[in-house]
Amino acid sequence: MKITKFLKTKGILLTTRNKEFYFLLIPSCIIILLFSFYPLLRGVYLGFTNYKFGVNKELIFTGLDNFFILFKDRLFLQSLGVTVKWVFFNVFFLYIAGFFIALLLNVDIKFKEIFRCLTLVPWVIAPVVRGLMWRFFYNPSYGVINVILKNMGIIDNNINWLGSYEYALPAAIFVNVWSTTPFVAVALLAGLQTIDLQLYEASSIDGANIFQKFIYITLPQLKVISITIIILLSIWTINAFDIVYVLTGGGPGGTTNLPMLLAYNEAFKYGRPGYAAAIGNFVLLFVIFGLGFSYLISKNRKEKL
Amino acid sequence: MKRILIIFILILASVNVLGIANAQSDEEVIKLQFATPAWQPSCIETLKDIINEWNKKEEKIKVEYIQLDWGSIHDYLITAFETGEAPDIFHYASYGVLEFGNRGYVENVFPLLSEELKKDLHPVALETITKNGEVWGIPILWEGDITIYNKEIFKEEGIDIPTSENPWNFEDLRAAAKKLTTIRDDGSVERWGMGVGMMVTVLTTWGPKFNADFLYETEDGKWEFKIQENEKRLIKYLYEIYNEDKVISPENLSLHSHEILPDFYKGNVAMIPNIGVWIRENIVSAAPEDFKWGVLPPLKDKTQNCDARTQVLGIPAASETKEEAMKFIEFLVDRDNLARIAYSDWLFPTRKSSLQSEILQTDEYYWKDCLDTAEHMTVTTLSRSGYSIEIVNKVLNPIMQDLLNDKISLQKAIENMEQQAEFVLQR
Repeated sequence: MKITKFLKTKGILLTTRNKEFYFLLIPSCIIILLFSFYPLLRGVYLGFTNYKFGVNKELIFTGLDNFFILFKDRLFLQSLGVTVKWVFFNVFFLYIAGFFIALLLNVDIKFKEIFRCLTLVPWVIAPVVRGLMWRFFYNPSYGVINVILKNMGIIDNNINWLGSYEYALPAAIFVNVWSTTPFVAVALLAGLQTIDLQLYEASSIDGANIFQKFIYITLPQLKVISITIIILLSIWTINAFDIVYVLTGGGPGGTTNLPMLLAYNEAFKYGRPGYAAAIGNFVLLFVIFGLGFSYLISKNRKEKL
Repeated sequence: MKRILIIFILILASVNVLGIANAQSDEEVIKLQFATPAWQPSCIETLKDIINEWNKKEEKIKVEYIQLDWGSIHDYLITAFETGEAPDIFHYASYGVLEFGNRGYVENVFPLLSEELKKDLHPVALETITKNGEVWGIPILWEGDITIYNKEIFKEEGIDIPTSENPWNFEDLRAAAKKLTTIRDDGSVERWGMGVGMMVTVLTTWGPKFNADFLYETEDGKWEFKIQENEKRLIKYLYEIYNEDKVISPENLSLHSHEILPDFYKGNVAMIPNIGVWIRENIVSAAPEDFKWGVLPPLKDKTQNCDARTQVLGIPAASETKEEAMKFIEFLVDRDNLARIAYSDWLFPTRKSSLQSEILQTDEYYWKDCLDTAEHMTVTTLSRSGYSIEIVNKVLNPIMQDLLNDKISLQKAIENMEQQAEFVLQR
């Protein structure tokens, strides 16, 4: 009897009251299991099979075969290096740009609501449309970017932004930063508005200047939301492929090839969804590892505090 | 109450009768979906007109037009086949349909073709879509490439225009391009001799002229990728005109040929040696009014051959209305209709009789000059193998870019191509 009571108080065994609670959870659980969990597990499983598109193709479990091929695939190995640069620079510039815009939007000025709405515009545009739009802007002969830079005297000859080894990746990163910054800005703005103004007042009395306030109040107060944003951005950028797909298609010479772009091509261009799923699994592992690592860091810090 | 009951029964009965009548008429009329990525407005209009003519004439088979897009058609069709939702008739490129054939998605249409159509279709066009004796679709249009040039610039520089009897070889092309490239006082290029976009397209379309096959069939029916003397000569030629002669703008290198047109219209590019024959529509509709342009005869090295690619109509293997679909196709591609489609899409028809049609045998917009290309069509092993998309995307394109940007030597490029192709072919 005592054990039952103990389990009930710990919430492990259902009491009459939380039976209803679990009952109400059933519909959403079914939806999550059916449309999120099952496809994920199925996707993971396909990565261990020889699944190819075609009529009467047998699905055979091939264990780690796909992964062995993966590490012989020159394009995949090259894409890992690209991913590191892509994720690092994207997250870095997104965070800096987002922070800067959030600080600007947090200032009490006229029409600030309008400015806040306008900031969201790049984020609202569909990714493929953004890509196509920037493909025009970057066009070497009639793109607006070369025209502006030439008129300003910064460059003498047109630059082939998306076709050169030096500029293709930075150009794609720039478009991704431009389009995702609004999200970072709005999220950080929400964080900024939760900071208790009394903290700033108290620090003013203590004689803190604006930079000291920023370093000792604003930054620490935004720590939790910043970690969340950085984790989310890392996941999004590692999975992003739409912009690169439209802008460069992975070229030139594979300098903008991202694993997800490879996975998409493997599945839908070359008809090997099994191999594509293996690429997906690898990225999933990468993300889980990254998340676990950042979780451990934040946990350690909390314990130290 | 009784009255209400009677009314209710009457309503039920009438609904039932109407329903049955409807079901019966539905059973009699077969609805076919015709999905096409046609994009030239004039071609879309022509296709819709022909479908309307068919729907008016035919009572039992009705056809619905479905618009697809060249950018996403491969992904769309592959998912449609996998989910059993493929349209009854689809229009796509031969290299893609061949791949679908390998996967068992499409029907061998040869037994369904009428004798008249079998005889009238150009044998090379049929070959573009045939594997192991099975024909995976009905070729309807050739995708040819032409060389377009700026007449005024050629005249200014005193370049003699080659004739069909005496076409340019690749050294002539090179010499002309050098002469046409002009440099400003500060050393920057004022005008480029040639406009070339993705070099890999040039590599594959000029391949047959150099007898550069890249893929060779072994005795046991497998494919082997080899860079032999001819392939090497072609790759070296492309490297030299880009890096040594410097007659091609590096700005254009990642663009599609049609994206170079604004520079061509401005006179910044004197000629475009490898551009789709359909581009004439763009020149006619978008070039400045006083712009004077022409079409050069197909270039010649060992041969004047061009890589034959066709647009094809296919029928899914899982379709239950194959014969009905074929009836409609026979109507859609009859001699006159096919000529109408080809004319409106600025391409050439694959039916020999349609090619002789009056609307195409004209000098207007260089139709006749372009039709010359159709005589030199040949099916390459690369297209025939079904590996074309993968070899181009994974092997030839990235490695050519590495080579042209001097990231690797010619020898290293050849080694990389062979290794990477081996990796693709083994899977």
